[in-house]
Amino acid sequence: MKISFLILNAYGMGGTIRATFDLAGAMSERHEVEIVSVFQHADRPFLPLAPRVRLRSLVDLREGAKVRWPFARKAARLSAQESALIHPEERAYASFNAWSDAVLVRELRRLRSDVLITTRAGLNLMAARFAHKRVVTIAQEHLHFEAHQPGIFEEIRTWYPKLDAVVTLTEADEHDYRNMLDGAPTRVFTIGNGLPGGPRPRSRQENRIVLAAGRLVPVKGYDRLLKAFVRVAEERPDWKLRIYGEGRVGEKLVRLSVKLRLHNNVTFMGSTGDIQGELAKASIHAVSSRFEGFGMTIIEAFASGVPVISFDCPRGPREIITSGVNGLLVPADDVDALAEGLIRMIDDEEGRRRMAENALQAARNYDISTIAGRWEKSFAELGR
Amino acid sequence: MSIEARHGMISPMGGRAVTSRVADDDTLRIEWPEPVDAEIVLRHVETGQECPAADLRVLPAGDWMAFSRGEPVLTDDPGFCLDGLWSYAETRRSREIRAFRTPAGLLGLRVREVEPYVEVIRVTADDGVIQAEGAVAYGDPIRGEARLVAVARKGPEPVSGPASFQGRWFEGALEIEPMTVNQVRPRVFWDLYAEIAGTRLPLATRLDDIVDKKTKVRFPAQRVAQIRVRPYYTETDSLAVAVSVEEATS
Repeated sequence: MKISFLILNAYGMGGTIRATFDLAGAMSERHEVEIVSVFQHADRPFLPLAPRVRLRSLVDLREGAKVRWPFARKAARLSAQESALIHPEERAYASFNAWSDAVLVRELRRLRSDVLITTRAGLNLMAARFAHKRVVTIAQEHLHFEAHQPGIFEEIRTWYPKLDAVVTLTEADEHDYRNMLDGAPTRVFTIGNGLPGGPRPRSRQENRIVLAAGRLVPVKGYDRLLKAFVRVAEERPDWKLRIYGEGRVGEKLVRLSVKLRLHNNVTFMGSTGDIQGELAKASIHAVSSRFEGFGMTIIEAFASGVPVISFDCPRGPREIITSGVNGLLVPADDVDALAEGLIRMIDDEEGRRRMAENALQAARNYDISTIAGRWEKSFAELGR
Repeated sequence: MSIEARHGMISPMGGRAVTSRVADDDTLRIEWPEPVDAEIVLRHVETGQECPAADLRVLPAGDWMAFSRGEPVLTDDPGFCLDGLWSYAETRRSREIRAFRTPAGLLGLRVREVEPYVEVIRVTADDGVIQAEGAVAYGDPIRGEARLVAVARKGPEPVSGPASFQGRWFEGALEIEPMTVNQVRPRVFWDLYAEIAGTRLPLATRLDDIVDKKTKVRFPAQRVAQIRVRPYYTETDSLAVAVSVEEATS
């Protein structure tokens, strides 16, 4: 089977790129797999990609890049014009232009793979409109249902019924898309992101470290985690919180941490290329998000034998964590409950070790080969 | 991380160590999933010098990568636990040997020369006072009255406050006001020491794996009129105090 992934830019770093590379790599063991990157700004991808996966790009943004004769002048002219096909509310709208529109439409009309998997709303809509009818089109939604602005949502409502399937990360999203697609033949599947196989470092539950990781942006709720940690620091002063990541509220969070006098207990670690290695040094992973579209770091923590405490926020955490078994869910937005939950996990070392074992078990459900198997099953159901 | 490591070009040959740590007696303890009788060789990252891992005490300072049968040793162990670093530092030593795991999963050892110092675990900066608590690392226990001394790198004479050693444990406090009097330079940096019987032990926080603490830990600032006093970590993770004249905001 020939499978094509269409992705905005395979040469950067980010959750969607990582998930797509991992999935493509796992599928390439049994299928002919290619990744089509709309844009290319670097010679090589930043993230590792399995050698059997073919990677090609449509619009070359590198300095000195040449457009194939006789399109150079057309490309220059259209590149200066805004995209007419991508909705302005697509979050990556600024990346597109009239030239990328033209190239994308041509590519989608020509593509004859058995399956085309598109990886964001703008590209899903393009596939719905322009992909050849013999190609099985599957739209993957890395964003949650309610994240779309009203304008692009109207386009989604209009065009997604032309797709063969929508694949969501959570069952809550599956439910929402089913309601939206009411009556359309489009199928909806929930398939979470997978963890690449292979050995990984494992926590021994020996360091008094709570780890949080993710971009320092408001949705991650780190202000609440800091407030909860004030009580932890008072009652269990030898426990430390390490926050990994960077982002636009970083400075604000550092100031809050100073104001709360957390300097002896909280460290802002910056970003890391080895989150598994850092998780292996920790004993608890804390998720303080207001919203979590899936929760890849929860799976990563599980795979390193680290139980997870999380607000019971929409959507991912409650579908991944089994409270009391491999972690703890505490009422969303309740800072006191988060503090109490942390102290409970800190004090119950035996329970934590048991949760760590269960977490390792739970991580197996997200092994990339298991996930790839679920995708293949969906292909079979969609086969023509 | 190098591009080779990210792209998995470092060959993952041989088994993976379950545990790989340096014990308090400076031996490298590696636990394998099944018994292996391969000799571990350490290769200096910069000079390429090779040494058997049998005796770590002869290793020159620097970073060493572990090899077994010519292949790098892969490990699933972070290489240390924080309590282990503390217990290791309870012995008087002039060299510190630590195991670490690279992002690509390779086992390395870092050898550093060390001198006795006070490992700081708690800093308080409120009410016109800077307080520090910690414990003697790589030195012998001390008992008695001491001073917490701040030494300006340029300009003013040292200032100090009351402190005490009780075995390994150190506590000291320093009023910030004396550091601010007659300040003429826009900024003066003061290094902190625990002083007893004419000996000064630097204050620092090093018994962890956090590099570049300077950018990762921020202490509260206090003010004396227009002068701001804030503890900070130096490039070597020593504890220091920056005393700066605040610019009038227009």
